[in-house]
Parts: sequence; structure tokens; C-alpha cells
Amino acid sequence: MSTTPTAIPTIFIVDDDPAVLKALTRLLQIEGFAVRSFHSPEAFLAQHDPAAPGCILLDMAMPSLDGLALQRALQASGCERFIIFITGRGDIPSSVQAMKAGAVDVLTKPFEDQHLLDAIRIAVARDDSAREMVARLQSIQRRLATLTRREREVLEHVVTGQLNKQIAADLGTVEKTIKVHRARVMEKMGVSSLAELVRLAVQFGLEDDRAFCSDPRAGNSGIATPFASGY
Amino acid sequence: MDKKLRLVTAALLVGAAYYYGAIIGFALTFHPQPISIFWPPNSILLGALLLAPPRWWWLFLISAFAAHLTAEMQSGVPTTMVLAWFASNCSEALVGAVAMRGFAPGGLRFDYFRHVSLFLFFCAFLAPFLSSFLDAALVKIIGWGEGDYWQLWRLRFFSNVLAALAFIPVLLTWRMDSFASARKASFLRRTEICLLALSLFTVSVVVFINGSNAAAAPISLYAPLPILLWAAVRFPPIAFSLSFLAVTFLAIGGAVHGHGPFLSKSPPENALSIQLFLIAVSVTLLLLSSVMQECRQTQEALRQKEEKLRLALSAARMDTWDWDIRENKATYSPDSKSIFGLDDGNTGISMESFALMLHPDDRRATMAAISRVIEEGTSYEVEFRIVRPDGQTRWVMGKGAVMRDAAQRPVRMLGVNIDITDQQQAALEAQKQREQLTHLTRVAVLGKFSGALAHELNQPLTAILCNAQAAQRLLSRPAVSVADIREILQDIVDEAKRAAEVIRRMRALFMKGEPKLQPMDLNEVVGEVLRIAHTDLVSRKVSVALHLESKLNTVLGDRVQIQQVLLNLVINACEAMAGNMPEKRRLDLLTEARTGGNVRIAVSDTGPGIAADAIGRLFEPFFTTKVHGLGFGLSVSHSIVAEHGGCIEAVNNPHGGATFRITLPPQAGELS
Repeated sequence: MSTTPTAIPTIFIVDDDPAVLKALTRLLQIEGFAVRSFHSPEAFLAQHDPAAPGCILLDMAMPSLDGLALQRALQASGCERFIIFITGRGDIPSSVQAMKAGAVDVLTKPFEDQHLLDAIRIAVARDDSAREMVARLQSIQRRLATLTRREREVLEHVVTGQLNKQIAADLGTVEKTIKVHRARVMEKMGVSSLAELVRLAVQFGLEDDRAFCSDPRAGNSGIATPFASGY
Repeated sequence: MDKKLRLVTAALLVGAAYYYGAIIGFALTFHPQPISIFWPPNSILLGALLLAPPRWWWLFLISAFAAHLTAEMQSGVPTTMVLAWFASNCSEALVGAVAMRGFAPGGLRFDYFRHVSLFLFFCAFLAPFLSSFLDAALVKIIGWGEGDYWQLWRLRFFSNVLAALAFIPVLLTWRMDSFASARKASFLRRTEICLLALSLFTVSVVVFINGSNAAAAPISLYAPLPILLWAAVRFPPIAFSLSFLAVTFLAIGGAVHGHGPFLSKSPPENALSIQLFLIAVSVTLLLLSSVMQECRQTQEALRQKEEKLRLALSAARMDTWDWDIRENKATYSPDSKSIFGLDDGNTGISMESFALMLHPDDRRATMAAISRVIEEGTSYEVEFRIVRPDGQTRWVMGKGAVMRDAAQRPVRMLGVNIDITDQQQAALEAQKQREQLTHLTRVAVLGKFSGALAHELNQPLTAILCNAQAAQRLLSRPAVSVADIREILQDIVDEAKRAAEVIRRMRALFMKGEPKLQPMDLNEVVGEVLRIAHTDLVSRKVSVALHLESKLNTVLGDRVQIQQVLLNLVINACEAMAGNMPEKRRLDLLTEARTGGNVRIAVSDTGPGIAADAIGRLFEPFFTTKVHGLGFGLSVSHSIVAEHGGCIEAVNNPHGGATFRITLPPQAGELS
């Protein structure tokens, strides 16, 4: 099903303390992650590649722009990444704020490497599945784009469970024509059964509205859909 | 009203006394001579004038005039003579009274030798002397009675002198309290008074009333003398005055009735003998009595002064000493016992035994101070400890002065020792409390940095843990690069050192200890304080601007305490700016050289500044403008800076915010 091969996830580390930055980088590299380290939030914003899979390891307290502010800035720019916060203070209000804003975890310094790695694996997995979901939706969208106008209309009717005869009546044509369209839709969408077609439509979240024609980014998929921009 | 009543009563009393005095005078007149040998009214009037303020005199004179008229008219004296005599009597009283008021304005006192001398001259001699000329002349002009002018003059003079000596002292020493004190006197004293009165009466009666004009008369004449002497020497002047008045009455009364030792010649001659005898006795013994009383009073005053001094010395825990340098013997006041814990050996202590009483640590300095003053100085003041025989240590302040002879050789030293143990202990206690308060406020200031401290320590610990666990992971693999492991270990070592440095920096501030003076560069102190406050400043989003003068004098002080003061100011500045937007939170730290080599540190913020009513009270203890402030930080800062000989002040900046300035003096010898 998955379309893109899984690249090595990149961990973006942002910490103003060079020694901590270096140690974290070393640990994660040993564990096989691609690491990009930044000594300030500004440097991160300037250099980071939203397309690269992975997550952010973010120090909460930094001189110019603290971790929470960076989180907000990323969200505001529409580029959301899974973030693991590390904090020297472990104060509850900012941890709660971070978690509410979607952080994967908040680790209080100093922390066990296993906790860090667990959190990173969770974040990477979420990133991976989110990317996969996006990729799937994109492939559905690509296939949808190949349908003609009539074929889309047929598809809409088919997934609501109407019989060919009813669809033909609705569209003002004959049942045989609908059958042809339907076979073309199945072929273009790459499915071999009606059930599969319906599941595809459900995944896209469009069984009961007209979103087939709308931008998939507005799709009400019910899951976090990050990195919408840049695709 | 009350005053007027008293005035009228006094005037009536004077009139009555004058009247009865005149009656007595008439009774003691040897006819056919017109003049009495003992004439009290003039003395009574003079006594009254001496007792009363001059503004009452006119009333007394009127009252006396009335009494004079009443008495003289009875005795059938012609009116012109009556008036003339009143004139001469008044002149006598006025001369005496005016003279005494001039020379003894505070009132005539018979316990002062000088006053008695003045009294004898003006009242007992000059006034009768002058008025007698007038009197005798008037008698001659009017032609009343017999006798030539000089005879009359003499009679008048001596009778008035005797009356003055007999009456005026009694009038002026007659006070109710002198009788009250007699009642309060001891049993022996009262017995003595009774014995005096009894023997005086007995002897006088035997000599002047019962005594016949026998051959033994001249000797018996002197019999009352020892008793009068007794009264003069042993008792206040009132006793002699009364005794003498009694003897005078008895002697004259006896003579008039034909008794006593003076009846060998004619009445005028007898009178003269009595008068001369009594005058001689009175003058001598009045003077003696005053001298004795003065002496007693001086002794009493001295005793009271000594008592006061003793009380004062004992209250001040002081004692006095007197060291005879040549004899090497010191005499201590009795209270030395309380300070030095001496037994009865408070006489004849040598300098060596004094030195042995001193605390060994203070002995050298104290003895050096004393020998220095003996050699060249005049006085010294030194604090030392002594160890008492019971083992107690006490703090003593010694002050002393050297007395030198004509050849400038030291002869004596006089001095006081003051027990200052309590003051010393209180001062030590206060010092300890101040240190405790200083430390507590420092801990409180640091408490505000505790989050920052945790962060400071967490950074290296995080790095160390990460590195160590990375190494463990590396080592679990088949192929291990030694170079990698070495690099990791080096990082661990570096970070551990960094953590140790954080601890070291903080520990000095948390530790409690006596202030340690050391030279320091204030720029360095500013740097240290910023390192401690760094994380806090970061999390408070306060930016720091440094303006450090490159060449500053070093300052002698306690580094930790100065750091504390600066940290407190930095924290206050940060808190003052908490309401600002982050980009408007700027802390300015400035050091500069001031006049006189002084060094200044200024901490400026961009907060709201200090309210006008608060600016004068900022450094008072318990004064605070913060909701949860205790009001200790700045007051302790103030005392720390003051102890360093510097000053701290707060001003509002012209463009908003406040500046705290600390000015410290340079280390001695560093004046530029």
C-alpha cells in the first residue's frame, strides 16, 4: 500500500547549550538516527527541511525564543512537527501547555536515554504513519484526478450504495453506460471490488459529502494531518 | 487673698512683738535715766525687716509705729519724745536691713561665717552706732530725762547692741523644721538637748538669780560660758541663739532685781558690765557657731557627694584607683571587688599583681599602653579582659591619667576601670544577629535563583548522562572505536567540571561564615553575579547591557556580601521589569571610578521606577513595596555597604526606571 520508501528519520535537536546539544546528537547518531542540531530556534527555523521525516527535540528554555514559542511559530506557519520537549525545570504549567499544543512528551533533564529513545520512536512512528496517511490520500487524490466528470458523478452515486439502474435514472442515461463508467472508475482507482472502492472513499472521508471535488487538505479525516503545506 | 491674710498676720505679729518688746524695755529702765539697758523693739523691727521682702516693709513700719505709740504713751513720755524715738528706732532698723539686703541678698543666714560677720558689723554695730547719735541728740533737744549726751549715747548704743545680738539670731534661725528635726533626732541627741537646756537653766539661775554679790562672783560669771560653748559647738545656731537669749534675760533680770555678780557698783555701771560681758560672749560664740555649722554642712555635703559618686560609680560599674608610681602601690575604691573580684586586698596592689589579673592575650597591649603613657603621655584609654580569681572573664575599659611633679617625673596615676562586659556581650550578640540576618537574606535572595541553579546543574548533568549512556551503547557493539570512547569520556570530564564550578560558585553564597575581607575587583564581582543570575535573566527575558570601566581601584571587602548586595539589586530590577514587554526589559550594569578613588556600581532597570513616598524609606527594615516582600533585602544591603564604609542610594532615571548606586571606598593606599 505504502507508496514512498521509508527514509531514515531525521531528529532536529534545538538546544542553546552546546554540551547538551553535542551529547544528544552523539547518542541519537549511535542509535542510527540522522541528526541535525541547532543552537538556537532561529537557526532551526532558517535551515530546517519540513519534508524530511523525523521529529524535533526541543529545549524549553532558551534566551531569545523559548520552546513553546517555537512550537507556536511552527503551528502558525502551518508546518507541524512532532515535538519532544526537554526542560531543566520541569515546571508543570509549561509542560501542560506543551502537551496541550500537541507535544509528544516533556522530558525533565537529566533523563534516561531509554526514555528519550522511547519518546523519539513514538514521535517517529507517528510521523511515519502521518506521512503514510498523507501519501495514501495523495495517491487517492491523484487517481481521482484521472476520472472524467461523468465518472466522478458515477463514483459518488456508487459509494452511496445506489444500484446501476437508479444511477442511470438519476444521471439520465441507460444502465449499460453506467456499467461501463463504473468499470472505468474501478480500473482508474485501482480497485477490484465495490467494497474496496467504498473503503477508499471512507478513508478519504467523503462518503456523505461532495468533498471529492474539494481540496484534500480540508479533508475531515479525523486524524492529525501534518505537513500539509509543502506537498 | 491668702497672701494678704499672711501679710496682715505678719504685720500684727510685728506690732505685738514690738509692743511687748517695749514693755520689757521699760521694765529694764533704770530711772531716772530715760534709756533702757535692754531695748528689744528695735531689734524685733530689724529682724522682721530682714525676714520680709522690702515691699512689705512699709506695713511693718506702720504696725510698729502703732505699737510704739501705744506702749510709749502708757509710760507718760511726751509726744515729741515718742515720735523722735520712733524716728531713731526706725533709722536703726532701716540701716541694718538695707545693709544686709545689699550684702546678703539671698537672706541672712547664721550658718554662714561671712553672713554672721556682716550681721555683727552692720546690724549689731553700725546700725546702733549711727542711730544712737540721733537718739541721744533728740533726747537732749527735747530735754527728757537726765544724763549728758555721751552717757545717753553709750547707754543707747550698748542696750541696742545687746538686744540685736540676743533677738535677731533667734528670729532668723527660728524655723519650725529645726524643731521637727530635733524631734526626729536619736535618743542620745535628744537627751543631750535636754541636758543642755537643764544645765543652762540651773547654772544661770544659780549664777544670776541666787548668786549673792559674794567674792566668788567674777568666777561664777563664767560658769554659763562652757554651756554656751557646748550649744555653739554641738548644735545648729538656733541652739546657741536661744541659749544666749535665755542667759541674757536671766542675767539682766537678776541684775534688775538685785541678784547676780554685777551688783557691786551703781545700776548704770552694773548694766554696762552685764552688757559688755554678754556682747563679748555673743560675738565670739555666734562666729564659732556659724563656723561649726558651716563645717558640719560641708561635711554633710561632702558625704552626700561621696555617696552620690559611689552610687554613680557602682551604677556605671566603675571603680577608681590611685597608683603611687614611686611606691608602686595602687589603692582601689571599695567597689573594685565587684569588677576584679578582689577580697579585702584593695590597698597596696602593685603593678605586677595588676598585670597578673589581666587576660594573657591582653596583658602585653594593656601594660604597653600604661607604660607608654607613663613615659610620654598624659592619659590613656584601653579595653582589656581580666580573669577574676573565681575564673570569670570580664571586659574592662580602663582610663587613666598621669600626674607629674615639677621635674616632669611621673608621680601618680589616677584612673577608673569600667566593667563593659555586658556592653561587649550585647555588641557581640548584635553582630552575630546581623550576620545571621545577612545570611538569611542571602539565602532568601538565592532562593529566588534556585530554579536557575537547578537548570545550571541540569545542563552538565544531562550532557554527562547522555554521553555516558551513549558510551555504554557503543560498548555493547562488536566493533568499538577507542577514539570515540575517549572523546566521550573527555566530554564527560568537561561537563563534570562545569557542574563542580556551578556548585563552587553557589556554595560560597550559601555558606554561613564570618565576613572575610579581601581585595577585589568590582568588575570581576559583577561578572560573577551575572553568571549566577544568567539563567534567571534568560528565563525572565531580561537583556543585560554592561558598561564596565577598565581600570578600577580594588576594594577591600567581603566578596560574598558584595555579591549578595548586587544579586539582590539585580533580582529587584528584574522583578520591577516583569510588567514590561520582553523587549523593554533592559538591565544596565555600570562600574565607574569616582572622586577620591572611590568605586561605583550602578544597577539600572527600565521598570516603573520608585514611588516618591517610598524612595526615602527604601532602606528601612521591614519596608517593602512588594506584595510578598519582607523588607529585608535592601536594609541588609544598606548595612553591608555601610560596614564596607560605602553608601547605597536609589534614584529614579529621567527616562523611566530606577537606578541603585553603590559607592565603595578604595582599598587603603589606592588613591588615584
